[in-house]
Parts: sequence; C-alpha cells; structure tokens
Amino acid sequence: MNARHNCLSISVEHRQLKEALLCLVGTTLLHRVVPKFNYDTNNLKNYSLGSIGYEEVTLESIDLTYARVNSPKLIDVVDQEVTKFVDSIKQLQSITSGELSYGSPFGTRQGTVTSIDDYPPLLTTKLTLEFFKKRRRPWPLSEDIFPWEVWSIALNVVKAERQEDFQRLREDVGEKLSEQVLKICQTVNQPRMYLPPVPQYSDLGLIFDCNFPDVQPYLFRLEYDSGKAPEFGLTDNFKKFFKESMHQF
Amino acid sequence: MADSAEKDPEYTLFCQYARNFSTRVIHSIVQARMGETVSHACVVTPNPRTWFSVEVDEIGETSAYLKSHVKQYPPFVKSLNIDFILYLPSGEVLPLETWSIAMGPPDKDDLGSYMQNQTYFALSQLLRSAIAASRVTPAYRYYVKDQSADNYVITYRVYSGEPDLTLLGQGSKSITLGEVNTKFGTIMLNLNYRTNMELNPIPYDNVYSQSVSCVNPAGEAHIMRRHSTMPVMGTRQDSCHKLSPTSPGVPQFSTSPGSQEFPFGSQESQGKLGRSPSSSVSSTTSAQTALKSSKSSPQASSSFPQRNSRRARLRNNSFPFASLLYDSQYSDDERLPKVDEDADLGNIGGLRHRSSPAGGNTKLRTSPSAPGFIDEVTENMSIKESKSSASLASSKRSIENVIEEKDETPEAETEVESEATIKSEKPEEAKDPGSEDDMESSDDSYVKVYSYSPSEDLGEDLTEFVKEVRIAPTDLGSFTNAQTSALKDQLNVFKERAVEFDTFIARLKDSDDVC
Repeated sequence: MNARHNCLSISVEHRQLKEALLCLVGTTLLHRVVPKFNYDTNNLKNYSLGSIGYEEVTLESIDLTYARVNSPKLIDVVDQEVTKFVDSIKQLQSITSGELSYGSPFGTRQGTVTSIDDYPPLLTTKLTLEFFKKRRRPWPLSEDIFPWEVWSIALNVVKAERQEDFQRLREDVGEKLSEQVLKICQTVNQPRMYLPPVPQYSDLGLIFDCNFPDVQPYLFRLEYDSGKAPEFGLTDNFKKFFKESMHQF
Repeated sequence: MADSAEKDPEYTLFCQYARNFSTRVIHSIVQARMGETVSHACVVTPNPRTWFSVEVDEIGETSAYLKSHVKQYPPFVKSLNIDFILYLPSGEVLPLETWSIAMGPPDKDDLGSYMQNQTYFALSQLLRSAIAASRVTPAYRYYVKDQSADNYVITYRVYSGEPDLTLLGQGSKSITLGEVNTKFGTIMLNLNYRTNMELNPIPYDNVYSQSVSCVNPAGEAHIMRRHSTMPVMGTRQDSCHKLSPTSPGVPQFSTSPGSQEFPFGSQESQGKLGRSPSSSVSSTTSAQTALKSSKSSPQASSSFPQRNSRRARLRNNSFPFASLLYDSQYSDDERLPKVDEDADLGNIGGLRHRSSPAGGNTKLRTSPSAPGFIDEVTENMSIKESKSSASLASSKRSIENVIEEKDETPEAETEVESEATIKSEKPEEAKDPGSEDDMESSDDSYVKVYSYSPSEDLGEDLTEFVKEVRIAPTDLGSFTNAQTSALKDQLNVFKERAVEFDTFIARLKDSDDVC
C-alpha cells in the first residue's frame, strides 16, 4: 500500500523553529488521535469512546495561537522529539552561539525587512511526521511497519540580525504558519480519505499507540536523519561566507 | 424522495448529527473569539452528553441566542452562517469572517448505504478542524486578544441563507475546511475571511440596511438590523458549561470481521450507534418531535435539556424585561408602543399580527436582541460591564424591536417574538367587552394584550412572569394597609427620634467648630 504524502513548508527564524514545528505537529495530531477506547468486558467486539480535550497554546516567538490535544504525556513526547530535532541541527547552534556571525556581506539585510521571504535561507531542513500501522509476522520476525500517511515539513531557517526585524518576522511567520494550519485542516478532511480501520481488541496496538492514558493517537513517529549531521542543505551564500571566515583566521 | 427520507430512521439520525454539529461548531468558534484561553482535559470514560467525542463548552448566551434566532438547522436550511464583525466605538463595523455550514447534494458515487459511524467520525474531524482553524484566522490574530470597550469588540450573528461575501472586502479568502458526504446530502464547512485589515470601517446601517430589504423568500431567519448581532463576550467560568445535550445514550461501536473496511465500526453496528437499547425509541420520538416542531413554534431543542429560565436568568445576571432599561436609548419611533396601565395583566401574553397602516399583507419579523447594547458598551462600559449587560441584552429576547416588512411571498415564515406591543388584526376575537376595546386610542398606540394558552411561545421571560403571577398569593403581607392608629404611633416615634438626631448633628457641628 502506498502512503499518502502531504507536504508543508515554512520559513522561520531560527528562534522560531521549535515553536513552529510544535504548532504543525500538534495540529496534525489533533486530527489523528481518537478518544480512549472502552471495550465491553462481556463482548470485546463492542466499544465506546471517551472524548478528546484540547487546549490553546500561544506561541512566544510567533504571533499565533494554535489548538492541540490536551494530553500531557502526548505533549511531552512530541516536545521531546521536536527538541531532539532542533538540537541536532548543529550549525544552527553554532550560529546562535556567535561562532559564525551572520553579520557578513552575504547575509546582512539592509533596510526594513517586511517579510521572511526577503531573507535568503541560511539552511534548509526537513522533519517527517509519519503515521504507520504494524503487521505481525511469524516468530522470530519483528512486526512489519507500513506507513499510510507521511507529512513532510520542509523548513527554511533564517536569522534576523536586528531585534526589530525579528519583531516584524513574528507577525509574518504567524501569517504563513496559519496558512499551513489551514492547509492541514483542508487535507485531513478530504472526502474518501483512507484511515486504518479499527481492529479487534487484540490488535489495537497495531494501529493505535496505546501508551497514553487519555488518548489513542494513530501510531506515529517523527523522523529526521540523526545518524550524522541531519539532512540539511547549506546555501551557496553560507558556504562562501564560511570559507571566507576560515581564511581570515 | 423527501417523504421516504423523512421516514427513514437513518435520516432522523443524520438530521440530529447535522444539528448538533452545527451547534457545536458555533459554540466552539464563538468561544475562540472571546479572548480567553480554552483548555479541556481529555475524558476517558464515555459521556453520553458529548457529541462527536470532542469536549466543547456550552456558552449560555450563545445557546439562548441560537434558541431564539435559529429556527432551522441543516439539512433543513441550505446554509447556516456565522458572521464575525468588528464593532468600533464610533459605531462603524468591519466584517471579519463568515463561517458557513452548508448542505450540498448527496454524493451518488460515494456511499451506497449510509454509514453512520463514518459520518460520526468525519464530523468529529471536521469539528476539530473548526477548532483549529478558528485560532489562526487574521481576525483571531489581530483582534481577539485586544478587545475592550475602548478599542473594539467583536460581535457575531447567526443566520441562514446566502452570505454576502463582498462585505469582507477585496482579497478575501474562501476555503472549504472539509465536507462529509452521505447519501442524504453533503455537509460542508466553509470559511471566508478578510485579509485586508485596513480600517475603512463602514457605518453599520450602510452595511446591513440593505439586508433589511432583502427578504429571503424562503422565510428563513436573517439579519434585520444591527440589533441582531451578539457581542462575543468573555466568558465567566460559571456561565460556560459543557454541552449537555440529551443525546441518545452513549454511542456504541463494534468491531467485527466486516468492519475492516470502515473505521469505527461495521454495518452491523449501525443500528446500535448512538442508541442504548432502552432509549432507542424515545430518542427517535424526540428527534421526530423536534423535526416536526421546528417549523412551528419555537421549541426546546432535543439536544439541550429544558433549562429553568430562572436559573438561566440568574446565571446571566438578568431579570425579566431588563432590556426595558435600554429603551431610553432609542428615539420615539424606535420605541415600543406604550402599554396601557389599565391593561388586564391577568391575561397577559397575547400575540397578534399588527395590521399595517396600509392594510397590506404584512409579515412581522422581530429583530433579535441587544438594541442599544453596543452603544452602551462603547461609550460607557468596560469589557466586564459589557459582559454583564450582554447577558441582560440576551435575556431580552421577548422585548425587541419589531420591524414591519411587506413580504410579497405568502409562504414566508413569520417569526413573532414581541410580547406585548402588537395590536390584533381580528377585533372580533375574544375580548372582554368594555376593557381592551375601550382602551384603544385613535392613533393605535395602545396595546391589546390577550390571554394566550401556549405560554411556551411567549419567550422565557414572559413565560416566567406569567407563571409567577399565576402562582402568586392573593394576600401579600408587605402590601397590607397599616392601621391608622398604628400610623400615628409610628409618626410620634419618628418625631421623637428626630429631636435626638438634631441634637446629635448639633454636637458634631460644635466639635467641628472647636477643631
């Protein structure tokens, strides 16, 4: 079975990266969780559902509020995964620590910045949110994993030198992020969209993640290339600047 | 087809789904514009009062507004619209958004049989999308958090019919958040929002005065004047309740070998969905009753419990006829006709059509609540005061401006909710001789009030008043006349105390002089 691919793209300032990802992942998961199943003890074929609670989250670095599933454990899991991804971008850490100054002729913005698109991307990266289901195989083989929906979040990361530029970017990124949220809403509600059927009680763990006490999201994982430097691309400007900086030292 | 569909129990359930979906969408997006952070915990145990497995608060004022102004929900109307309008202190408005819950034709290629489980789940998804989308629109980002009586407030209105999207200005965007296909029709949720936020506000009357003359031939409710909008007030915690519909039991789902094709159950479980064995008959009956009565008198929705109007009034900090306090804001021609003081209050509650001066075929439509409210909010009141007065205004359903319209379409539905300001068209109908007829003045400014048995048509305030009057004791101790002899003794006591009081005042003056 082929997985359904959905693409999201956003340009953010490096200080906004984590919150932007949390917003997109949280909004997607809001549509990909089901309430906790309550099976009839007499007949495990029958079940009833609890209900999903949501909460508003106001972002600090972006002028945006989004809604996410109010499950503390799910929030922690997502936060940990996104934090790992953000931390794995080593070059980003180098930039923020000042080792590589952005104040080069290649990246300096002159004049008033009105849009994040005016910035050349410092680096590009991608985070993948994948929903999958498992299929048991005979012992000693492990379970097969079949993705059925993949959300690719393409990120262009920039850096604003001046604080006033960053303040303008808050609103601009908020607007663009809101468009992505609306895109997610439109995508998940397309008619005749495939969703894994509810299995028997014994196979519930093959479709849903039952580790959460209050909700059951579809099995999901966040992926990026963490074996080495994460999958990212350095723009030509950045490479040129890096070389010239090295020559100076 | 229509007749056979109405008899189909699946269609009845579909109508319930559509109605409850509409109300929950409205509640959730109105709450999103109140400016207060919303947080609901996930609930593990099934709750029969929660529809579509999503925790949604019930806002009292919104429920009251819907109850009084929305007579029909999808699929009985083609489109139910929610407008959000920015109201400025100067009295000008800026339409921000229009949400539409629309009914489309059934998708013949989609489902051969109606899948309740799929529909239920799909509506749950769409409701979550409404919750998510309502927080990211420009109206939310720019205006929701900074509402105040000094800056602006966001008002909303709910109506059916075709929305006027030109009010959203150039560059407005329209998106379809999603649609749910069934054999009975397609439920669509559309979002239209303004992108150009340059404040070129429009005087309210210029924007909505046109809609006054645009009468919907189908007779569906639509906006009359500015009074029909409701402010999106910040919620007090005690006035925000979890939605408590009398849904037919805890939805039961089933897994079976045949369910592999369908998420959340199989064809076998369709009959069980949403119905516990004991309530299946009653739920059908109540749904049918709701459907039948939707076109007649305004009746309590089967989705909402019958609430004590007194409790609602207390919660809203309102009292009957509270809106009369605001009548002084209006000019004479906007005021309600005078009520004669000698009118027979024991038979209060008459409702009749007022004959137009020209004697034409006049249909009466009442404009909804909050006349004058917005003026008060912007001129005199903080956002907190506006919240309490909004509750007062919302309880004023029964006393509202009556707008006469000459409706050329005979089948247009008449909506009459004015309580005591209408003259009878049929003078031959029962009146006590020598009472109301004699009170009629030549300029027709007096009011005839007739007894009216179905008190549920009178509105909550008037109904409550009628009940209280009927059950009131005949002897009221606080109003008994005092004996004259006792009166004299009381006067003597007052005179004695007056001397003491004067003495005390004199002492105070002396002490002041010394200081």
